[in-house]
Amino acid sequence: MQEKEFYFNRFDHREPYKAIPANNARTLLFQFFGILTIALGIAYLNWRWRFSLNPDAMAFSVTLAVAETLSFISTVMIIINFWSYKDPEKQTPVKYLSDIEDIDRGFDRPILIDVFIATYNEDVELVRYSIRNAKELIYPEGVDIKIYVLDDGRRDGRNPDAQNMKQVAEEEGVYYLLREHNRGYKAGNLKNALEQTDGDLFAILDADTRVFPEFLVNTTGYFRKKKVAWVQTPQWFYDTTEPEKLSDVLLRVLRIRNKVIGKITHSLFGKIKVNEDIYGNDPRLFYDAILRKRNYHNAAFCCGAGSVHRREAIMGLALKDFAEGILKFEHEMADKTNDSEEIHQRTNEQILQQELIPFKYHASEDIYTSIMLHADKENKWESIQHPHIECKMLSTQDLDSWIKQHKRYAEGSLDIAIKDNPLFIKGLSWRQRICYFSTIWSYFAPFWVLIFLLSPICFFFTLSLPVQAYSFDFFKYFLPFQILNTITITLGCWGINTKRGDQYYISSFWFMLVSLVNVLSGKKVKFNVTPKEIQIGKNTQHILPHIGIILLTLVGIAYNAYLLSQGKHPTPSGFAANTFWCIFNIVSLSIMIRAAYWKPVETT
Amino acid sequence: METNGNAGNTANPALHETHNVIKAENKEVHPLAGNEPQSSGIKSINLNGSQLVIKAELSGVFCQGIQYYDLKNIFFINNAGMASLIDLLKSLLKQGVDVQFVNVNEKIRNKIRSLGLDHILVCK
Repeated sequence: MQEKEFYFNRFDHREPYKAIPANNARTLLFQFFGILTIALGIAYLNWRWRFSLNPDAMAFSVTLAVAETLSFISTVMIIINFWSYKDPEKQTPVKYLSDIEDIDRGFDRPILIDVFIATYNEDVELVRYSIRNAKELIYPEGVDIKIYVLDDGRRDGRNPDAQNMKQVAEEEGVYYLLREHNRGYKAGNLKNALEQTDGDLFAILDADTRVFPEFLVNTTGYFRKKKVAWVQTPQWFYDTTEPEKLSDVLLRVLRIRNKVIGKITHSLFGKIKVNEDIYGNDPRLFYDAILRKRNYHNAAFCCGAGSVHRREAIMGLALKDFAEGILKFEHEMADKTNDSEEIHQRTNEQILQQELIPFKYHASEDIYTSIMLHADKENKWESIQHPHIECKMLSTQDLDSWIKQHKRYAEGSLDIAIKDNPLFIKGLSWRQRICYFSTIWSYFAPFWVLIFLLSPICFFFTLSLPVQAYSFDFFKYFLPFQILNTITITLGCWGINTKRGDQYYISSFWFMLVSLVNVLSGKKVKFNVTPKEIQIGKNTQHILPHIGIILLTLVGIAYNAYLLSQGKHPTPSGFAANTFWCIFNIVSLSIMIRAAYWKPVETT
Repeated sequence: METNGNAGNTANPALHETHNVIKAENKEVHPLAGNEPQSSGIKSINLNGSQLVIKAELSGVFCQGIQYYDLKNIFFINNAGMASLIDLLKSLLKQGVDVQFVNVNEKIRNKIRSLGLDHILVCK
């Protein structure tokens, strides 16, 4: 059957990036600078809290100092996260059950591997691509690999107007599973699949996850170590936006068709490239730096698509949760009544009601389940972040979808912080606690980012400084810390362009703040399926706060420039420092505004 | 594993050739030993992770509202198998029948205990 043409076909030629080779000398250098950064950060904050607070603007001063302290906590956790590499050793793929389990009495058989492709409402022809790639998986002879399409959209032909996923599965000769409800979202879909399948290992793919032929060959060998519960591979988005010439963008936006002006514009700006990966979807910073280095702490978490799991581990977790739930219920009953017959009866009713749930029913089911597996004191499960790319996926193609996806990550992680905070869960090592908490803490960033964005504005309109003075002392403490911090992060992310990541860290403040408020107010966290098509016309709502802050900043700068020109500005050094600070803020905020109005060149 | 509509949703009938440690099918229900309730939905249990290894039919006896299962020929049950035992338990509890397992070896008992299931899967 002929494959349908999609926008992403034009990116098929793209080759994935190569993982940065681990380097001991660089790691040592990072550790050296990391310790120095922490020491200088403590010195700076000590000076800030003890000697720099401005008594004439105490509230403003303290607020900014609090923001800087919270941000520093984040820096310390990042340094711990990045401390060292521990890449797993490559292993030959497993072939027999005895390769991954201690088999009693020497009985053995070929291993069974299931590949799950989870889908909900994606174009069935898009899923066909993923199925066909999965069918090309290579593996040592004699091993049974079964491919299952897990359809949560009930597209089995019952609705003649809807697409027919079952038919595509049949055409491709793979198994098709569905369920009559969507309880538990993706986790529920996986649960349904696990109930009906029997692979010793199973791979999780999303509808748009296109595996490379050696995906299983390169990952299953890790399961020779009996403690390995799952292996996650990097999610490489191969359809991130192409860079454009600045001259092309200017001519298009300004609607200039004059050839002479066009030529001049090209000669002036033709070599400057813009709009590359405008949504900051390149996941390299996350997979090649953050998650990969968590191998050292045994704290790399599962991200869903592109992962391989040991069924024993996940089923063990489900059974323990089930048992704990029943036991808790029994105890509650025992507190209410002494009638053993009634307790027995009601407990049996509870057994019938309660489900065995392998992956937590949660918007962030992957990280939540990872925390619980790592916290299993008895089994001490290990995780592996495989450094190399073994599959490719589609990224969000518009800001609204991007924000929905990231809001789900944020709300899910914050919800875990409230329900099962990894700082307090028994069974995790202190390093695992820090790594998991670091992820959660990053979603509290809008607290301090908002203060960083509003502080210069506050200065411009009140002319009050958050420090006693931008004196030599300030720069003596501040600059060494900032410079060392930049060097340390550069070493930690060596070879990775962090520009977009830095910009989105600032410009994400608004939707993350909304997520924070939603979770703290007890709003139910929703599982939004990320659209695979462009959603046009929903973006402006997301950037109004950004536009507001930029306008206020520009008005503030203009007002202060006027005061300066009249010789009436009380602190010219404060104006200079805050203006410099604002340039960084505006550049960071503008990325989201650009993303909101960006469209693929073909559709403009 | 309970009687559900999902089996009919498979595009390929070969799906039912499962290799689970414990296997529970809802087709071809046949009477087990004793007076087992007819609609338990459970046919057989495969052990040690493979049908190539041991395939043991789980014999059950129904007596005074309790279904007893003899595990004397069963040496090991993995987690997926334990999950099937829970399904077995549920399918019988639904009919008001309690379940107990007899002749359970020490290794399996330990496993049940370590999972915290000892108050759910009753071993005598």
